[in-house]
Amino acid sequence: MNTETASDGPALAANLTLRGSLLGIWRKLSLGARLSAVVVMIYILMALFGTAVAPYSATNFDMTQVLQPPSFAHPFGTDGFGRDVFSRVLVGARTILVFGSVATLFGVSMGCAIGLVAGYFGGLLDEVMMRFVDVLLALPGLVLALLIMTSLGPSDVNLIVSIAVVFMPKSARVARSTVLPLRKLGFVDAARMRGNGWVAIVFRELLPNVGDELVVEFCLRFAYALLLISSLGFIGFGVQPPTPDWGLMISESRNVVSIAPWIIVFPALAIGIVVVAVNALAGGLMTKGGRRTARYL
Amino acid sequence: MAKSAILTATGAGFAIPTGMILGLLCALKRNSLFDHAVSAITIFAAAMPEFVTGGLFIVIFSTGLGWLPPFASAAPNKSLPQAAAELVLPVAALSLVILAYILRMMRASTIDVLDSEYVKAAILKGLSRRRIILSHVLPIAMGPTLAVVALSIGWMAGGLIIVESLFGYPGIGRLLVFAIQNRDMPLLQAITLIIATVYALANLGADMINRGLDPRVAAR
Amino acid sequence: MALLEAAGLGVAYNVDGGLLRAVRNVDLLVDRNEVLGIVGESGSGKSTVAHALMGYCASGAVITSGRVSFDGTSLLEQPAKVMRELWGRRIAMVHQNSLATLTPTMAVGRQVAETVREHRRISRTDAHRIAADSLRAVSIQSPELLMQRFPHQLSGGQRQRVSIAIALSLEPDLLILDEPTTNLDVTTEAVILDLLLEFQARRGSAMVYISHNLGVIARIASKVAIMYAGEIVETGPAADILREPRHPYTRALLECLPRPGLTKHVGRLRSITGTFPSLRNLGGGCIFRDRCRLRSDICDAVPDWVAVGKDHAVRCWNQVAEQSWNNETRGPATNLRVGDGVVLEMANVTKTFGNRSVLQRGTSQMVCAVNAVSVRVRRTAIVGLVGESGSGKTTLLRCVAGLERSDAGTIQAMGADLPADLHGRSREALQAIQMVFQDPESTLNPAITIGGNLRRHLLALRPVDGVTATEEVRRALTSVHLDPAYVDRLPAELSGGEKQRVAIARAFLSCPSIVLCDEPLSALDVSVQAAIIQLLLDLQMENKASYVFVSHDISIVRYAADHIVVMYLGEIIEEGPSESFDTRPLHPYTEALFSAIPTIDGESASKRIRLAGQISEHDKTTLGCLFAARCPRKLGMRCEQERPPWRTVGGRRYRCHHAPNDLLALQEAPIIRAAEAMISPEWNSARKPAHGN
Repeated sequence: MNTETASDGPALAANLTLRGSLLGIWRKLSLGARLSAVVVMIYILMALFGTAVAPYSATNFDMTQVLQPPSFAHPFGTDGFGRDVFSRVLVGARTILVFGSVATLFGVSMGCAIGLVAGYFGGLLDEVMMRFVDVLLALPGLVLALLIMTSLGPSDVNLIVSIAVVFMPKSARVARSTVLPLRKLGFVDAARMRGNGWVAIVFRELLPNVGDELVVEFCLRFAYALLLISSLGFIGFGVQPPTPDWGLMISESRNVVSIAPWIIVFPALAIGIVVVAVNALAGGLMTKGGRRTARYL
Repeated sequence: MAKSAILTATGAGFAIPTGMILGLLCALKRNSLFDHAVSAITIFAAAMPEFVTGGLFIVIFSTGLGWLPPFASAAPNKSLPQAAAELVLPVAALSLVILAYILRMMRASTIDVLDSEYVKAAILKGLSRRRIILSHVLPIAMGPTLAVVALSIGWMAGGLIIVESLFGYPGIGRLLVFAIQNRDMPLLQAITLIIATVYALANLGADMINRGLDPRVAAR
Repeated sequence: MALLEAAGLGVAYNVDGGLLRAVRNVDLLVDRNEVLGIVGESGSGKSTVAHALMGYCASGAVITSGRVSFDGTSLLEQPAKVMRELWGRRIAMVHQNSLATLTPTMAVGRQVAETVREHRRISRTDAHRIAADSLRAVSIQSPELLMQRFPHQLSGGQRQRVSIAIALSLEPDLLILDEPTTNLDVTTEAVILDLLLEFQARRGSAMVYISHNLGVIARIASKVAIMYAGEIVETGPAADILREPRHPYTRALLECLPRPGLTKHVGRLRSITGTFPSLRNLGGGCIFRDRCRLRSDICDAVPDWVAVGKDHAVRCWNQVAEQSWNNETRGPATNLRVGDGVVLEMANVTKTFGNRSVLQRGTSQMVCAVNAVSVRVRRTAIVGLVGESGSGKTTLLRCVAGLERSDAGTIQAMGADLPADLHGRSREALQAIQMVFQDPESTLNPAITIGGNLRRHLLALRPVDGVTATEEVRRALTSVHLDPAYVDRLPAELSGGEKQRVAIARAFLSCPSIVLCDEPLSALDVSVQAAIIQLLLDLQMENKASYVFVSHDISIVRYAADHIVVMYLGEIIEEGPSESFDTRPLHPYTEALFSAIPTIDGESASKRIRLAGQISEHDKTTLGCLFAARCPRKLGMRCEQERPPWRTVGGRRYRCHHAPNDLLALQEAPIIRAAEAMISPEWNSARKPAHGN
């Protein structure tokens, strides 16, 4: 601190969660969040190396091994076509994570761009953009995705497109609501007074401040993407076979569930755990609130 | 369609009040064992898609324990207990997710309100716990929760599709899948319209209640 | 036995990394009929003390020592049930920010009534009646109407009065007020202080009034405790402390304030060197040691209380030991005089705000914020724009800045027309006009480092290469007396004053000729304000710049400005060289404004004029005088029907139907009709009632 100056009052400590190195972030997470982070890492590893590590092919039929219960040879058992469930689960990780992340990335970026611009400008532009967004919001997620898939035709690319479209309005809303309080602040005015146009202001001034919430939003959307992909797969409109998809695996095995429950259980757990983990991680990244009045209520 | 309505209504009727009350309790007993336990459960419940929970329920309660039937039978005149028993698993699968969301939202917004300056000021006026919670906390905490409730109704539309397919329940969801698979456009449009309308009405209802509760919203 | 007694009180907060000792070893005594004023700047722990005095302990706060007793019973460590009996009924609190402390979803009337209902078993109608009475007692006319509104629909002054009504509704024995008037206009503040004094005189309650504003404390307190960094450093009768402060901190604080007669050409305002101590790692010894002018070796030991007068005690080894503090001569703050030539000229600038949305039909509410205002700024001059809320001063400033587009009128800078829109302005124009904003917390981009904030501002205005840019940024930081190492820090790590310094540095990066200042001091502590003013004056000398300085704080404006412009409801009602304002304000509004400022000296010569009603958009009229609805010197129908003409006296001009001599005569022996204005009780009792009081 400078010595020759007069005092300027007490200084406050910074409390931004996502600031700083990875290690710094790790330290700030609670136990639950750390656990979730580890789980997510495991899934990512599965996605990267699943095909290499899987003991059996995930797609080849083997009618001699139909509906085998879990055993040493087949840790998760086999399904109605003799495919090893364990291998299918491993490979399915890549499918769902890749599709999920790509779709979320597209959807969230588009949505944020729209939301940031709409939020910054306000007025007519804001209203028009938000009405457009609201039209898309009129239908709940799964229904909308289904509709798009059916109109475009089932394919992998269309799956990504439909999920991105589903995500776009919600991300737009979130981005807009985070930008709105920032619009009127001093540093935005200062930027205007140095001649910055709206592009510079939105992306250089406002975006860094919205970053934290966007990361959280991305995680939550990603979790939802996983849900959507597997739900669509369950209905039969998801990833195209023979690529293993956990939802499709469950759907295919509905009829034999009473005699071969393992075909449902393992993919179900796979989906459930990763979605929970991503959600928990997102929750852990959010800053925590205070606890002032608990004693009196 | 009536069957879907029953499913939805039961699900909502169960999930909404339970979610709100539990959420409130969690917020009040913040960081207690109760809160941690319930929060942990909701994280799981919120994350799993309906077919996962539905599937697991079937495996546990039907195949495993044999308590409840996994499928809706096609018999035309079921006795009431039979119909009720058939409802349990689908309703549970359907409503678990929204229960979790409502609970967490209620908890989060209640915590927000509890930390606010005006609640502190109300405490310092010497008001009783009950008065503070009912008049000062709830009206504001419910706002965001109602938005989630409206969303949930929409979510349930998607959930219906899955749950009905899973449990073989004859309702509008299954009809939708049927329409898609058979490229039955008019049917598809009709069903979509119905879903969109119900969703819009739910949002409208939530908006109106919110206006009644929070005058700041009305003033905008 | 004192009504409220705190002995050895210590409160600390659990934060990551240890214990933050916010309050240490505090002894306080308040009796009935007494008003204890606690003076403290930010970080002094005064709010913590306020809560502790109520027996309220927030989660995360720990009472580390001491006790607080009210009427003989201890307040700390009582179960909530017991405390609920006391709160609201015998001890009541008025909080600072009424918008945040009134429940937004509940009608205001209900909030007043519920306290009554809670503590007394009475019916709803009875409680409603009592609530209406309480509101009437805080000078709210027609309370029935107001009671149905919600907090966000009321003005700041009304809300604060509601908060006070809530606190007073059950006539408590002890009233604790935490900066209740800080966010209010001066004229409203004056009315509220009158109310409080009146209540206290009537009921005989004890009051604890917390504020950083020494003038207000002088007005309202009978005894004073000065807090610094969690400790009390001096206590005693208000008059004694303010006239003869014995603790170096108190004295330094008083020296920070501009006094009537002191202008920038006469002398500097002293500020307090050094920085606030960290409350986590407290060294031993006197808490003020690092910043004290009288420091010596003994100060390494914690000072004991020393009695220096009747009931006047000080915690210092080297108490300030001479008579009056006026004697010290300090050099002038600036040598700069007003130059020739006009750098900025605003002619008939008008700005109206509409409330339409294109997609919504319905009546639009047009608010004319600035109505045909013309101001001239000379080279190297400081023009002070003064006014209360709704005066339009900030809007006018923003129109010059280009942040708002004026609807009519022209603005010329350095002889050339200035486009109303920022996009139309040339780079030279952008370089020439820069601004310092009000809130230091939001003036810098919190996600970017200090260096980053400055650098991008520089490069946008003066494209230089990277090396030069780095150099310039460092130079900018040193010019505002900040360590150049700050380039890598984030704004959140700096204090409010430091952030404002960076903001000022940023404004000067392009060597502007005109710097617009939008209330740059209002969010800062008093001791910091003095330093920042000096900084602004120094930079002005270096850069030969002109300032347009908007403020609601008239004492600062009188000190620093060369020319003062007084605005009311969007129009100029009086303007002139600042020296002339010292001798006589002319326009009745200016007169009321000046008389409402709480001063330390409490000169009985300052006649207290209270304005009835409040500033309201509805007063705007194209016919008569804007001020007609509230003017204590109203002539009658003429004021309501004819626009008042401009009148000139020497360098000053103002708009009023009264001629200058009439106004001067009126000010000598004012006859104020009670129907138009309220008169403070002291004034009223000091002279015989004249007309229908």
